[in-house]
Amino acid sequence: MSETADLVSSPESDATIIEASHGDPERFAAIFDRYFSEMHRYLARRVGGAAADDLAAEVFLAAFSQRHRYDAARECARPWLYGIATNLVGAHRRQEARYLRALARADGQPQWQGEEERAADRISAAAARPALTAALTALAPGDRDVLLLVALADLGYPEVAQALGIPYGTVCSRLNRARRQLRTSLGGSNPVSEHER
Amino acid sequence: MDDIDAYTGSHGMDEIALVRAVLASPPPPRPQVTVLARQRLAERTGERRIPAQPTMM
Repeated sequence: MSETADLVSSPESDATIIEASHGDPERFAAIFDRYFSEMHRYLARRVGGAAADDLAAEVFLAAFSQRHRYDAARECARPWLYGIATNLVGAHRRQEARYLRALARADGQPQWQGEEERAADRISAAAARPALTAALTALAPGDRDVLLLVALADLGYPEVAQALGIPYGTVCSRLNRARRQLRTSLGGSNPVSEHER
Repeated sequence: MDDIDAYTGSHGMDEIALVRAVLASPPPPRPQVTVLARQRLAERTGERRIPAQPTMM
């Protein structure tokens, strides 16, 4: 197989690109191109669309500034970027709280409607929204970060640990506590599963 | 059982599903948002060819 064919079939890892950007900063644009939409989506679900427009840009400015500290042994930059995005949310807790309050008040419809969700889930989610958003607001920030990295970013526990720079066991205990609190706030039942029975 | 669930993620994921449903997935960022963000990065990286300014609607 030719070298060109190898390059086509094996795109550069994030770690390779970030390392190359030390000498050639423009290379970092490839990280932006790969992950901007994903980071924007995560941030929009945490702080709302308007705030996400700015914060998503900030993620990549911060990542670029911190690229010399990136662990080249980690091929995929997703956890690292989610960690930066989550830290930015941490610096905008009031915005997050405002967004959750606005979501709780929304009359039946969220700010946007996920097309992939089934109608049954939408109905159940609308019913649960006030209680759930109140419960999310009441969580300790660290617990909420872990829960939302699992739920919204689809990170595994080791990736969450990497993103937040905390031990694996702490991820587990925070997630367990957050889930328990949500369950209690929802009266021990879950409208999604209730609806499907 | 809760502790085991949390560690294994094997079941009892209803809270997670509910969070996903309530914090619904938004549409992709508008093109001008992406381009403006890309321009901010290009200014930081010293890119020679700055991405084009989007046409404002």
